[in-house]
Amino acid sequence: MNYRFATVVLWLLATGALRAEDDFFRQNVAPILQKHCLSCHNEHQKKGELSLISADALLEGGESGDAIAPGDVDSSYLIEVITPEDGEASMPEGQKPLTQAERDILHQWVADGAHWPKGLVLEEPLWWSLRPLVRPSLPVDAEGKPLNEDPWVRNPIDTFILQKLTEKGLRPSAEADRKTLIRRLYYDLVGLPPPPEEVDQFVADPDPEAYEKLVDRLLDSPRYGERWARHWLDVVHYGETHGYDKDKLRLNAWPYRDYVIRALNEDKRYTQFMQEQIAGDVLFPDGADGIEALGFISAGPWDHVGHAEVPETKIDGKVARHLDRDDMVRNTIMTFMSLTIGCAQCHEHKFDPISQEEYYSLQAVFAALDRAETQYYDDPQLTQQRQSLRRRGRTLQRREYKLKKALKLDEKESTEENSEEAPEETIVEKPEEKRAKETADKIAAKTEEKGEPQAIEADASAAPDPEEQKELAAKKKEFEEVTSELKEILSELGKLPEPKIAYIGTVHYGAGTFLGTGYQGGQPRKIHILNRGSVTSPGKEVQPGALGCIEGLNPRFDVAEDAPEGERRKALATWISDLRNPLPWRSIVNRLWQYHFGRGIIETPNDFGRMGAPPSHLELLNYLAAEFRDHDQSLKQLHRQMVTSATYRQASVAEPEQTQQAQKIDADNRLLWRMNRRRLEAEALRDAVLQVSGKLDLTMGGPSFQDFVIDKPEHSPHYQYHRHDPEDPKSHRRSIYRFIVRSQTQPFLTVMDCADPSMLVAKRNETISPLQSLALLNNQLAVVMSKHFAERAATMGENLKEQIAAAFRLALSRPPNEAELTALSRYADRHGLANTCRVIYNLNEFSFVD
Amino acid sequence: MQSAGGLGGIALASMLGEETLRADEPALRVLHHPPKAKRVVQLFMSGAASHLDLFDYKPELIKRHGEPSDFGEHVEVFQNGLGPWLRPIWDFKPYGESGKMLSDVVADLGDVVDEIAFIHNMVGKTGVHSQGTLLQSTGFNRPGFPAMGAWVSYGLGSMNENLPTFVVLPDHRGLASNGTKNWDAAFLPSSKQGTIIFPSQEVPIADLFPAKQGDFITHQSDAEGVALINELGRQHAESRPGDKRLEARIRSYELAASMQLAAPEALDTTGEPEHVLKMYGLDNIPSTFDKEINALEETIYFSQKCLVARRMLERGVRFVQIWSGNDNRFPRRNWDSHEDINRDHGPLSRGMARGTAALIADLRQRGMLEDTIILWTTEFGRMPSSQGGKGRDHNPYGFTNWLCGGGIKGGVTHGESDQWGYKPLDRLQPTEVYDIHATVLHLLGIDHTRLAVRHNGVDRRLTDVHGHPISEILA
Repeated sequence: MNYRFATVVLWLLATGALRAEDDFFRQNVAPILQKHCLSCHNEHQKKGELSLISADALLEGGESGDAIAPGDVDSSYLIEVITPEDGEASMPEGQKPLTQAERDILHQWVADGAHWPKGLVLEEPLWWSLRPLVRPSLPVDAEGKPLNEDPWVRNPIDTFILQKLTEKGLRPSAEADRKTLIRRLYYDLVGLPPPPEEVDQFVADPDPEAYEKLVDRLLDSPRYGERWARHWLDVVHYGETHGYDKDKLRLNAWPYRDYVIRALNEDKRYTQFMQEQIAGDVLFPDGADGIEALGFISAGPWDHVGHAEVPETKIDGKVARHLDRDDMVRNTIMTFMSLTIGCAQCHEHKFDPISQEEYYSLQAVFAALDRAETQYYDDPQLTQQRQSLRRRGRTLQRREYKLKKALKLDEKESTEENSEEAPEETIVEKPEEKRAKETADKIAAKTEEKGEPQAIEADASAAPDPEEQKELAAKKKEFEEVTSELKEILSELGKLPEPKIAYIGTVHYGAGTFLGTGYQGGQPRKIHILNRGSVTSPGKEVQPGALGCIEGLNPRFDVAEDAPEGERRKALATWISDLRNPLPWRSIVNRLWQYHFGRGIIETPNDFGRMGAPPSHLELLNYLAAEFRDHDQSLKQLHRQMVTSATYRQASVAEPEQTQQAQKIDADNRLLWRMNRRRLEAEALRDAVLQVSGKLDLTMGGPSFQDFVIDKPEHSPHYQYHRHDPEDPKSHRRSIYRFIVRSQTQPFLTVMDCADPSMLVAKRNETISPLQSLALLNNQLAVVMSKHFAERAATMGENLKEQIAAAFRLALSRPPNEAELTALSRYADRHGLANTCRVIYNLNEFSFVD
Repeated sequence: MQSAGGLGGIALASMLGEETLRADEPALRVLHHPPKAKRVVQLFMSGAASHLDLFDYKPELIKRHGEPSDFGEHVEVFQNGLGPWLRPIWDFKPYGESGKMLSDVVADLGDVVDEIAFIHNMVGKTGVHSQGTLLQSTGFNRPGFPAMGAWVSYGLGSMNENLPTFVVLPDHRGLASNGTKNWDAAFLPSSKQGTIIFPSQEVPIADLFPAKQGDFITHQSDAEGVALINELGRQHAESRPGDKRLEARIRSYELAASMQLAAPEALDTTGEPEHVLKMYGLDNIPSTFDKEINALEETIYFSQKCLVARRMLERGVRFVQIWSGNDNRFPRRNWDSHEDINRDHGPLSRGMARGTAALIADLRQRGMLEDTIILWTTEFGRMPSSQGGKGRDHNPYGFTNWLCGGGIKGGVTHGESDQWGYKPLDRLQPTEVYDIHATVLHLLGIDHTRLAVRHNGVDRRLTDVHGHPISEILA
C-alpha cells in the first residue's frame, strides 16, 4: 500500500472521528453540563474548586481529585456523584438527579475518552429569572394559527394556558356560574363575602359586561386596598411590637400600614411604590407618603435588649445590629427581587451568583439607619423645620448632659454600665418645656444652696486650684449658653403644630445605649465583610452597592463617601426599579398570580434562584411582567387582566370525564384545567364572621385596635387575648387594622395559619387541624358573633325557617336547598337560632371558596 | 420524606389532596435508623440558670472566693459582673454511684443522678436573653424558625391524635422571653406548634370548650351541632369530589370532639395515688403562699407541670416543654439573678429539683424512662465573678445542659469547663446547641442532616448546617 495514501486515509478517518466526537460533545454532552453543572462549577464560583467550562479546567480536577478518568467510567468521580441511590444523587446538589438518558450520554462520553473539542470554552447559561425581560409573542397552535382565535380565549393569559393544556391533550373547564363567580371575586378582590342583594342582582343582570363591571367596582372599592395590603404586609413581615425579649409596643407603626392601603387604592405605579419604600424621603420628599413608606425598612423585628441595653461597642451589641441590618437587606431583596440572600452573610451564595461582598455592600446601604420614630407633617417644609430644630436640640442636649456631669449637677450618678454619653430624655413636645424649666430650676437651686456649682463636690480640705477654677467657670458659662439656646429651640418647637409620628427606618438621635448615628451627622457605620458572618472577624471594608448578576446594571453605586446616607438608599431604589432589572416585574406578577390562583407560576415566590421552583408558565410570566413594566405599571390593571381571563373564570369542579383524564397527566392542576378551590385566610375568615353578624365596622385607617389586655406594661408587656372583651366595638374593625404582636401572636388567627410577623411570608401554610375546629367553635369571638348573627337573622324573616334561610344566604351567598333547610330547621327547633348560626360559621362551605 | 420534598409535599397535598392531609401525619414515613426513644421532655430554665451554683463544681472558686477576678484575658460581660470571684452559694456533695458532685440546692436530684449525663462545656452565641433562648429552643438566634418540639412533631407525627403532639407548660406567671416563638411552628404546618396548657388555670387549654359568653351552648347543642356541621359538610364534599381537604376538615371536627374528652382526663391528677403525689411534693398543697418567692410554692407549681407532663407522655404526647421562670421584671421570678443568686436561684432550684427528680423516678418506675429523653437546658450560664456582691452576670461562654432517659448513658459527665467554669476547658471542642439537638434527634431515629424543609430558598434544618450527635453520652 502506498504509504502516503495510508496516511491520508488515517488522517481522514481520524478527523472524521474527531469531528464526530466534537459533534457528540457539542450536541449531547455540553447541554447537560450547561444545564446541570456549570451554574456552580464555573470559573466565577468553582464549587469544590472544580470548574467544568473547558478541557483544561476539567483535567485540573477539584478538591476531591480528578473529576474524570477518561475511558474508565467506574473510576470517574463525576459519574459516581451523578449516579442516584434511592432516587437521590449527590450532584447536582439539591436538585433532582439527571435523567437516565442524560446519564447514559455522560457514561458514553467518559467511556469514549471524554473528548472535549479543542479550545471550546462553555458559557455558563443565565438562570431563567436573571435573563433580560422581553415580551414574548403570543402563542400559536400546532398549525401556526394564533390561539387567541380560539373561542374559549378571553385575553392573552388564556392563550398561554390553552397552549400548555393542548400540548398535554387537556382542555379547560367550563365557566363557573355567576353565584360562584361573585363570591370568588368578592373574597379575592376585597376579602369579604358578597351581600345577598348584590348576588341576586349580579345573577340576574342581563348586561354581558356585568362581570367586567363588577370587577371594576370591586377594584374601585376602598376594601380592595385593605384586602391586598394584608398580602403585602405578609411579605414584608410587618408587626407592631419589637419581638425578642420584652416585646415592646410600636404604637406608631400603623402609618406604614395605611400607606400600603392608600398606595394600592390609588394604584400607584409600581416603580414609585418600590422606590418610596426604600428611599421615599429622598426621592419623593413632597408629602407624607415618602416618609410613611419607610415603615417598610422597619417592618421586621428589633432586638430591644441588644440595642437599648448593650452598646454598639460590645460584641452582643454588634451582633444585634448586624442581625438588624441583615433583616433590612433580606426584606428588601426578597420582597422586590424574590432572591434569597441571607446565606451570603457567611459565605458566597451556594446556589445563586451572589457574593459575600455584594451582600455586605447591601448592608452598607442601610448602615446609617435604625428603627425608630420620626416626627413629620404633610407639609415637607414644616417637616424640615422641625427636623432641623430637633437635630440641633438633640446635639445641644447631649452637650448639656456632658457639662452637667462635668459640673456634677446631675445628682443621679449613672450606675448603668451600659449607658453611654447621652441623656435619657428625648426631644418631645410637651416634656421638653418641662425639662427646660426643670434644668433651669435645678441650677438655680444648686447655686442658691451651695453657691457655685463647682463647690458641690469640692473637697473642703483642698485649696481650690486656680486652673481648675478657671476651667469650671468656662464650663459653667458654656452650660448656661447651651441651656439658653436649648430653651430657645424648645420654644421654637413649641410653636410648630402637633406633628405626625411614624415608626420607620431612619437616622436615629437616641439616648442611653441606643444612640443611633444622628450625633455623627447621620454618617453610615462602617461595614466590613464578616468572615463566616462573625462580628469578631471583620474582613475588608465595603462600600454601598448591589448585586452583580443583573445584566446591564452597575452593582457599584456612584455615591461619595461623605454623601448623606439617603443617597445610598436612593441608589439602591433606583437600581432595583431599573427597567433593565428583570426581577421586580416577574416577582410582583407572580405574587399577584399566586393570590388569585392559589399558587404562583413559580411556587416559591420569594426564591427565583436555583433552589426555587421552576416556572410552570415562564412565557406567560414574561408576557405579563413585560406588559406590566412597559405600560402603566398598574397593579389594578394586572388584577383586571387576571380575573377577567377565561382561565380564572373556570369552575373549580371539572367534568368527571375531564377530571379522570387530567388526574393522570396533571393531578395537582399545575396547568389550570380548572380553577383551584381555596380556603379562606385567617383574616378573611374573621372579617367574614364579623360581616355576616352585622358587626363589622368599616372605619378605615389610624391606630390599630388591640384585641388583648396588656398586663405588666412597664417592663415586658404580657398580651392577654383571653381577657379581651369580644363585645368591644373597637375590635370589630377589619383584621388589617388589628394590632400585631410578635411574641404572642393572636391565638385564633395563628391557629388559622395567619402570617407570622417575624417571618417573610410569601406563601402561607395551609393546614387543617382539630385545633382549628375548636377555635371556630369555641373562641370567644366566634361564640359572641354567633349570638349577633342570630339577632340579625331574627329580623330577616317571619319564622324560624325564613330566618335560617336568611342567615344561610348571608354566610354562603346562596339559599339553602331543601335538605339543608330541613336539617338546620330541625336543629334550630331544638337549640335555637344562635346555636344554628354557630353551626353555619363552622360549615366547610363557609371556609372554602369554589 | 427527604430534604427538598419537605413542605412541598404537604402544600401539594393541601392543594388537591393527593395524599391524606392529617395533622398527625409524620413527615418521615421511615425513620433513618432504629430509635432509642419516642418522647422528649425539655425543661427550660428561663433567665439563665447558674451552672456554678447547681451542677458544675469548681473548688477553685471556693479557694479564691473574694479575690479580685482575673480571667487572664479581656472579658466582655453583659452588665458589670466582673467583681471578685464568687464561690458557689451552696455546698456540693457527691451523689450516687457515679459520685457526681451536686449542689445542696438540687440535692433531690441526687437520687436519680446516675441516670444523668452532664455536659459542662456548652457555649452560646450572645449574652442576650432573647437570642440565647431562641437559640436553645429553635437552633437560631433570631425569630422565624420552628422549635425542636415542632420539628419532632413534624418528623414523627402523633402517637395519639386525640391529644396535641407538642405540649407546652409555661411558667404559670407568664411567658419567657420571645413568648410563643419558643414553641413556634414557623414555616412548618401550624398544627406542629406547641399547644399551651396552664394546668392550674380556669381554662387550661384555650378554646377546648365554648368561651364563657357562649351561654346558649349546651352539651347537647354542641354535640348535635358538630354532627350537623359534618352532615352538611359531607353533602358539600360530595359535589366536589377529589378535594381531600374537605374530608380532612370533617375529620378534624371528629378529632376535636375526641380531644374534648381526652384532654381533661389527661390533666386530671385527682386520681393519682398518695405515694405519687408525695414523690412530687404535691400531697399537701396550701391554699395561699407567702408573698416572697419561696421553695414550697415553686415546688408545687413546677411539680404540677411535671406530673401533668408524665400523664401527657403516658397518653402518647410526643414532646413536652416545661418552663421555669417567666420574663424579666422585678421582683425576679426567673433565673436571671444579677442581684442575688441565693434569693432567686434558691427557691427556683429547689422546686425544679424536686419536680424533675420525681418525674425521672416516676417515668423509671413505669418503664417509660427508657424511651423518654429528658433535656435540661437554659439560655446560657452565669459568671464565676460576682455582680454587686451576691449576683452573677450572664455567661454565654460556658454553661451546663444535661440529658437523661431514652438512649442516654447515665452517670457521666462529658465536656468539662475550665477551672472557673468560665469557658470550656478545651476551647476548641465546645458543645453547642446543635450537638444537643442532633443527639436528641439521633435518639429518636432521625438523622439531623436529613430532616429538612425548603423555605425561602434554603433547606432548613433544626441544626442549621452544624451539629453532631454526642456519641460519648449515648448508652
